[in-house]
Amino acid sequence: MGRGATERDPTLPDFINPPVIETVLSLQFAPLEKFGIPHFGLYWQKIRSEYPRYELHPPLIGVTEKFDPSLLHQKIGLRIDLGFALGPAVRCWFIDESENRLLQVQNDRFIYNWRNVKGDKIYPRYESIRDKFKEEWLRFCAFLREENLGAPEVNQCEVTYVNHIDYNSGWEGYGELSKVIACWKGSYSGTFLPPPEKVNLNVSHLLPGKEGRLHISLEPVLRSRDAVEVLQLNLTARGAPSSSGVEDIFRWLDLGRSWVVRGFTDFTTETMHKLWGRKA
Amino acid sequence: MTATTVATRPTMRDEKTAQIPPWINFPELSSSPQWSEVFHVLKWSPWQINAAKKILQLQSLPANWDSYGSHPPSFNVILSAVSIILKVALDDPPDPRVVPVPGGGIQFEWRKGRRELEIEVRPDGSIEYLKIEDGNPIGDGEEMESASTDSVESLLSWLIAG
Repeated sequence: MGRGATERDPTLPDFINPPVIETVLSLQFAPLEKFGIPHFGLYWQKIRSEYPRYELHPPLIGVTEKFDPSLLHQKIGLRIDLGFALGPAVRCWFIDESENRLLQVQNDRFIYNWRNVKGDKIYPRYESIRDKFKEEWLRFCAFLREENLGAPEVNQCEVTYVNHIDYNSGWEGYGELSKVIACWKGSYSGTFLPPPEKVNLNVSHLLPGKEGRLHISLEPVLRSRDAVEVLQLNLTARGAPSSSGVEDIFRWLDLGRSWVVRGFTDFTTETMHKLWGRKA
Repeated sequence: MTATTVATRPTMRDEKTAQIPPWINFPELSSSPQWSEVFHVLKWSPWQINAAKKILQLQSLPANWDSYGSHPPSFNVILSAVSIILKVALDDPPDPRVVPVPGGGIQFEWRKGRRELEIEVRPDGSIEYLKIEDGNPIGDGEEMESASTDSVESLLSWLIAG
C-alpha cells in the first residue's frame, strides 16, 4: 500500500472471493447551471489519456433520501426529482482502455464504476477504488474551478455493490433460497404452495441518526456478457454528507461502504460466507 | 490518435431507421448507474429466457464468422431482437431457432406443421418477416412498421394455427 493510501478497516467482514462484480461510488449535487455541452469535451481533454472512449446516455434522475415522517406511509422515503432538467440532458461516459473503469458525468452527478468486465479480474478492494474516485473527484472539481463553473454542492453520496450469485453454487433454485439469504425462512405455514419459481426482494434499512438508508434488492437477472442467468444482489447506501467538503464526502462514503459490507454479511448465510472464503 | 467511440450498450446516437431506440424497453440499462449489463427476467417466461440466451450468445461470434467479413450483431440489434420475443405474451409458443445473418443481423425461425415463420432484425434496426407454407414463401417478405405486440403475436398466431 502506497503512502497516503486508505487502509482497510480491520473490523469489517472480509472475503477472499466475494461475489461482487461491480462497485459504484456516486455523488449527486445541485445542478451546475453553467455546465453546458462543450464542457463535456473540455473535461474529456483532461482525462482522455486514461479514458479514451466515450458514450452518450440519458441522464439519471435525481434521487434523495427523505426522512419526513409524513412520508413513512410510503414504501420508502425516496424522493425522485422529475422536474425539468437544468442544462444538457446528457450523461457522458468516459471508459478506460481495459473497460474495467468508467466515469459518468452529468451536470448534477459524478459517478465512478469499477466492474469485472469478463469475470476474470480480482476485486481491487474498496480502498483502492475509493482512492481513485477521490483523485478523479478532485480533478473534476479543479476543472470546474478552471472553467468558472462553480463548486458542486453535494447533496447525496451513494455506494453500490453489485453481486452476482451463480445458480448451483451452494443452492439449487429458489426452493433453496434459504441457503443464500439469512432472513428467508424457506417454508410456508401450510403445504399448498410449491417452492417459488422466482423471487424478487426489496428491503431498506435506516442508518442511525438519519444519516441515510441501505437499500437491498435481490432479483433474477440474465447477464448480457455471457448469457447466464444469475441472482443479482445489490446493496446501495445513500445519504447526505454533512457538507460538500472532501473530508465529509469521503467520511460518508466510508460509512456507506461499511453498511454495505456489514449489510451484505448479515443478509447472506454463513454457508455462503464459507463458499466466498470469509476471513474475518 | 487511438481514441474511438464504440457502443457496447444503448447510446443516444440516432439510428437511421429505428425511430424508437431499442433500449427504451429496458430501463434497467439506461436509468441506473450500474454499468454491468443485465436484463431483469423476473416476469419473463422460460422460453423467453432461453431465446434471449441464444440471442446474447451471438455477441461472442468472432469477426468474419461467415468468412465474408461479417461482424457479430451490435448491442442495439441484440436489444431489438430481445424486444421482439418480449412482445409475445403467448404461454408456450414453439421455440425459435436464432441464427446470425450476414452483415450483423439476427433471424428468428419458427416451424409448426406446414408453416414456417422467419423474422429478421437487420443491422440498421429495421425488421422484416416472411411466412412460408408447404415450403413456399407467401409474398416476398414484408417489412414491419415496428415490432409491435400485435404484429409479432398475429404472425405467431398464424404459425400456430397451421
